[in-house]
Amino acid sequence: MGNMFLIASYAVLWVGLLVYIGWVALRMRGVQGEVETMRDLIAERERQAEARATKLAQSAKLTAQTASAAKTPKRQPGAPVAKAQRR
Amino acid sequence: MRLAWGQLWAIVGKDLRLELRTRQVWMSMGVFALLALLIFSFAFDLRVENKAAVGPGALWVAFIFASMLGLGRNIAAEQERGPMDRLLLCPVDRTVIYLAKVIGNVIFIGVVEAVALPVFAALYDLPIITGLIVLITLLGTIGIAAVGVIFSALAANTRAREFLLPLLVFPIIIPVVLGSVRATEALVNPIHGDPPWLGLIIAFDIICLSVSAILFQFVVEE
Amino acid sequence: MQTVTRAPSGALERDTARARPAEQTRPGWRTGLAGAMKRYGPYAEAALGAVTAIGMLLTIWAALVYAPTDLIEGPVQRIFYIHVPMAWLAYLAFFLVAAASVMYLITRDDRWDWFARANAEIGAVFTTFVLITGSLWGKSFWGAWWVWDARLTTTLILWFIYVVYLVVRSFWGRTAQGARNAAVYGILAFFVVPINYEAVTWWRTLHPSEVLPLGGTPQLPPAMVIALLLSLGAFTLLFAFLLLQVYRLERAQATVERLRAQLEEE
Repeated sequence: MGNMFLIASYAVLWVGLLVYIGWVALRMRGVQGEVETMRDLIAERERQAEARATKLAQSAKLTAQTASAAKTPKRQPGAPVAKAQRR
Repeated sequence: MRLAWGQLWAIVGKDLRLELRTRQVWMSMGVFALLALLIFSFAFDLRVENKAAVGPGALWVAFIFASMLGLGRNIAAEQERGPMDRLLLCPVDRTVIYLAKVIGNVIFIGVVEAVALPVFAALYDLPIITGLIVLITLLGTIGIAAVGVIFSALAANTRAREFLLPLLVFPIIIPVVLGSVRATEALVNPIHGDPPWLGLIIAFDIICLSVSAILFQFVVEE
Repeated sequence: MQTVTRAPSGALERDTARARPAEQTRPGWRTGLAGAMKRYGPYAEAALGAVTAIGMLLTIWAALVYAPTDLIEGPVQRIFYIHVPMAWLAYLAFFLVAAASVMYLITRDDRWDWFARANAEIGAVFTTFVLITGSLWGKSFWGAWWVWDARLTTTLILWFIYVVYLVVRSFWGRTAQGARNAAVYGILAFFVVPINYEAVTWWRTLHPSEVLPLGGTPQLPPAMVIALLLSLGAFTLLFAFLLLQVYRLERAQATVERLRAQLEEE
């Protein structure tokens, strides 16, 4: 009779401990997955920000070029204008 | 540690004047304590032998629950209305604020207890109205207030304040409950060789007051 | 970028903790220790896990086979070998919660908070097992599922204190205020537990019949002592192992919070 309680306690203890360890491991995996997702998202954001930044830089350069190109034809109306426009 | 007595009594006075003005919480606490005693007398079979066994327990449960109500309303209401923030802005030592609040609440709860005790003695027909009951009640209330004030400040401004306060307080005040109830019982049924319950309550009060006085600043900091 | 998720090391990576910056001018013992931990961490951890498992198996053998059967109580007494060490460790965990809380309030270093949380969680689990095994033992010895024995009662109160601590943590989430509040509660609770034990003991001396001879048997035969010590050692290893795992879990969760905040900023 007493043996039943003995077996019960040991069983409860070991099963319980294993369940708990498993639960901790489960949570750990979940959190690590979240960390990965977060880092990926941040890297994505950074890439987007970089892409936007380079695009801005490029368009800024382009507007600067067209602005300076628009100034020069006034000096020589004729063939050079056509040349500039073709370009 | 120099204690700023002037500041202490100023805060106590302010708190008491505030309560005197509204009197709401006081009244509700008093009525609640009496109602609790009433319900206990129906819940427990009050034959002559049982009264002495059940009575002191019922009394202190009523006191504790009434104190929870009072503490919750009191300190939380203060933090909602803003006087706590203004008080914290003044260069007052947090320990002084804490002790002042404990004293204020002891007086505050004490009035309710003073009303409930005669009613209890009559309802339960127990000869407890001696000088010693005042001491027991005072020391027990100091214990409850010491723990209640710091945890009520901790739980203030939260939406679950009402049930968080009892959760925090009850496991901690068990020694006070034991001591007070047993000491009150001893008034009715003096047992030879009874352990010094009052000494236990005093030890509890001293330890809780000193530890909470130091920890209070961490609770109210921003 | 991959190191946090892949490396099983127990070392503290720079980017996760709001820890005080290590002395950068003079590489002192701290940086040396951190370096050693980074290199040997995984091996040490695996070793700890292995030793723990071996210890546990040894304990089962020692408790169930090696130790002599008690003359008075019979084989049920063997619960003693798992009940008592877990009880000691549950109280140790509580002390560590209080100590870590004090350190947290002084230094405001999040790592102490993680340590306190880990201890609280494991302490709660251990206390639960202590209560269950104690109850099973009591049922076998007294025929009642619960007796108001001084030690069991204090352990029950300890269980409630742990639960309330965990409620406080979950209520305030991973905020600094939550950490502070839990620390205050843990410290105050710790100072109250000795008085609690005294009070309950006095209370119980009024009813001397309800005293479980669980841990206080005056003279244990040496074989039993050995089994008990072995069990204590094994459970302590388990405790350390679990502490490490849960601490890292807490740290990882803090990382998630930090990254989330960073994400929301942008």
